[in-house]
Amino acid sequence: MPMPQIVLYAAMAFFVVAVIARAVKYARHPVHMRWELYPVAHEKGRAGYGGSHFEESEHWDSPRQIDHVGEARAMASEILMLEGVRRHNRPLWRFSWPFHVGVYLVIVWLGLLLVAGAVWRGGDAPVAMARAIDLVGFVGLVVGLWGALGLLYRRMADPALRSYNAPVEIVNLLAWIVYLGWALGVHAVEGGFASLTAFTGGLVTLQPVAVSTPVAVEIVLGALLLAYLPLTRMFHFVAKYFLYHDVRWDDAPNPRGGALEQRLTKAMDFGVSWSAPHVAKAASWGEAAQGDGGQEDQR
Amino acid sequence: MNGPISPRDLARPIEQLTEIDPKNLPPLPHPYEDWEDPAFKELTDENRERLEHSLDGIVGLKIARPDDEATRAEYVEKFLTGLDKLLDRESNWTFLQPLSLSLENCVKCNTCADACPVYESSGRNEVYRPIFRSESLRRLVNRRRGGKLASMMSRFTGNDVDASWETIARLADLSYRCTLCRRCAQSCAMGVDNGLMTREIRKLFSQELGWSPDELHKDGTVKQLVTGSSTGMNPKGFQDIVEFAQEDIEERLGLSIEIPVDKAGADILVLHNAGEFLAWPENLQAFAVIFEAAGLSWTLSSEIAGYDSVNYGLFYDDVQFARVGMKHAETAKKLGVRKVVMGECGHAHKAAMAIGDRIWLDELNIPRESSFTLLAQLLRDGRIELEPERNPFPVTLHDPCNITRSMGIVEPQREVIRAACPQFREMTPHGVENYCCGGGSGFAIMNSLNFLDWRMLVSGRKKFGQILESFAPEIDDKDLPKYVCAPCSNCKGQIRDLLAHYKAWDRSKLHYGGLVELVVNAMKGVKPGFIDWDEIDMMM
Ligand code: SF4
Ligand code: SF4
Repeated sequence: MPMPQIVLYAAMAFFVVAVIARAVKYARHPVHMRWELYPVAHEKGRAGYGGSHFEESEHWDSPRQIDHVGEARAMASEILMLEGVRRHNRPLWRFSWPFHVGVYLVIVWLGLLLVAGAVWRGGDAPVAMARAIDLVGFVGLVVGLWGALGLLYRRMADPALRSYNAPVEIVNLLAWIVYLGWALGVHAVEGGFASLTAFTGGLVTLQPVAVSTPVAVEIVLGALLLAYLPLTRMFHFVAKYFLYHDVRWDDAPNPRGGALEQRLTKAMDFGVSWSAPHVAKAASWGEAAQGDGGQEDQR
Repeated sequence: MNGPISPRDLARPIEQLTEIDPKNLPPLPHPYEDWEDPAFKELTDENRERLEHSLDGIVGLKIARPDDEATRAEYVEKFLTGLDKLLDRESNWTFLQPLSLSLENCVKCNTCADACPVYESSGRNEVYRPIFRSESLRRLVNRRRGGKLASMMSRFTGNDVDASWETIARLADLSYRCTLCRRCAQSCAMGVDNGLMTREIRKLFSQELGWSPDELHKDGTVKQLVTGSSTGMNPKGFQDIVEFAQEDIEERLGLSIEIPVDKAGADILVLHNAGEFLAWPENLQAFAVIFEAAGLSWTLSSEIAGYDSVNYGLFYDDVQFARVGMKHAETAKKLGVRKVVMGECGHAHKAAMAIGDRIWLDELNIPRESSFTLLAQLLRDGRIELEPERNPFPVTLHDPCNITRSMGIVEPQREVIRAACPQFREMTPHGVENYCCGGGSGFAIMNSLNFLDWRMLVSGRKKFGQILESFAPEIDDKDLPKYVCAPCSNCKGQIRDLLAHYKAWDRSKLHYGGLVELVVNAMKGVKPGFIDWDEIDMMM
């Protein structure tokens, strides 16, 4: 099997494992104190101004009105429009949004290539499919490259951003620029993506397919980027899900006798290893909370 | 220090990293064009010698400077051990998930800087930039986690903050230059919370090294758990306050009210910030007048900590937070009340209702509600009636961060204030996007050395400007009193100090107070004049 194919299989496997590992790591954190931040998108009729269920007199007796559609809408506008950055940092959004849209389109493009490869097994895909691949692919690569270059420029030019951006952050952006730029160049010369459709056919059917050196380089660059992504902050999709759902929008109340209360009761048995004088004597959180008030001299 | 400052400079062995020059602070709005900010109070030579001030020349935490290298090294080692505990699933289960997510996912876009009132009001001093602080913690954590390899790669990865005495002393002080208002977090599209990370830094220093401001710990939570209140008021003192309040209500309003204390089986336990009793007894009185007029079954408690709703643990220490929370819950359980109602104290709301929602467990899990929602309900039910024309003066509303941004209680207090005050106007921005008063996270009670100057000139500057702007149409009318409604004891203390510092009564007739005072001042069947402007004028 040719080298690009092997590298890509390995990168895909690594990517999947790394993403799952990251999600599992965040999901397995213990229950924590409430720390939501308003507006909370699923507060029915209140999300617009940042209100909450606490606004009800005797809120514990009135049913919570969860607006799933409102939450989905907020998530969609965050994912598709980068609403938070658009609202709070328009100059950054002007590059960040095209970059993200470019990446989304590149993902769709790769999906189309896989479909074409799977359905037509390396043979010629119908014209409509080929056109769709061309359109999505070229637009995605161009827009993504434009955004990445803009982000790089901002990071280098803005003194405030520069002092917080270590070389690694620049390298991360360069990795995208190199990949997107190379892919764009290769396929602009080729006039389309036929070579890749053939390649993905082989990928799906586990058949070796020979590709030209420039395409092989493109595939290896893409594979390396894919494997590198979950090791960096650039892959924040999973973390952002947890940041919103498990922290920022986590307003789950703790009714007496409920499942949450059981988890919290268990957490009270966790050990306390802190060693300042006012804490040191407690063996567990439950014991610490019942402590004598920390009257010990602290310093 | 000359040149741009970066987090790695925390470790620099120089006398002072940065300085705030009052001349570089942003100007205040009309009519303060002529205002000249005074210089910060000079530290004495003895203080400079004895106390850590090497961050910005301000002494917030009062860390004693160790004389010998061995003690310094010992503290650094403790700090590093504390970092491990901060990331431990048992020792920090309370906030591990939010902390890890915030530590690992900042994309350094710097959007949060424009949202931070402290950073803006300092004239954009680099060390107050929200990510300066969190990035310092992040880099220290990454170095600690990454071992030798992380040290070798530090230039490339940016994890270049060395753990030294200077670093930890400055970082500890830096964690008391943020009000934990979380406005930055709201602007962060990633969901990263610099306020949370500041609190985690404070917690590390408190729970591992025993470093915390005396006002919050020794004279705060410890005093509250031992004597009953962080004000030092004991149960007997509290009973005297109640008697005084009854007499005062009789004298001012001609009403004979017996304020219930320790009434077992009452429907409601009201938890007030005991600071109100001493500084603003009219707040306690107004609550009593309203609750009696509405015919509620209610009580106060004289139990240790049961008459003081404050929980300063919220600002710096999870263990102390849990201890005080337990006392509040036990008080409610002992009295057998159906619910607890939180008086006008923002952090106490958040401590008991939001964060405390996961501490008040099992038989201590007694429902809690805000006095704002109760008041709005009483108005809706017609159990109290208002004559708003009795509040003819301009009124604006300050939103306590803990109640709005952190709890989403926004409308009920507005429903009440709109019903009571025909001249009500909003600040810009308001609600969940409000600016902190500058006294948040314990600052309102921290006055030592030059810290008071800092919270007047820097952390409270934005709020003071906002107050002036909200009264812009009448600000030049020096005969028309204007009322800043601050329904939170800590915010009220900070706004009191701001108005005094900027001589706002003399210059613009600005005064402040709570929400219930406005209600009683306009309440049908109650003698007018609960807010007595002549008396206020005399006191100023
Ligand atoms: S905390 Fe959020 S807004 Fe601030 S720099 Fe990090 S990612 Fe950007
Ligand atoms: S929590 Fe408030 S004061 Fe602290 S950094 Fe954020 S915006 Fe600034």
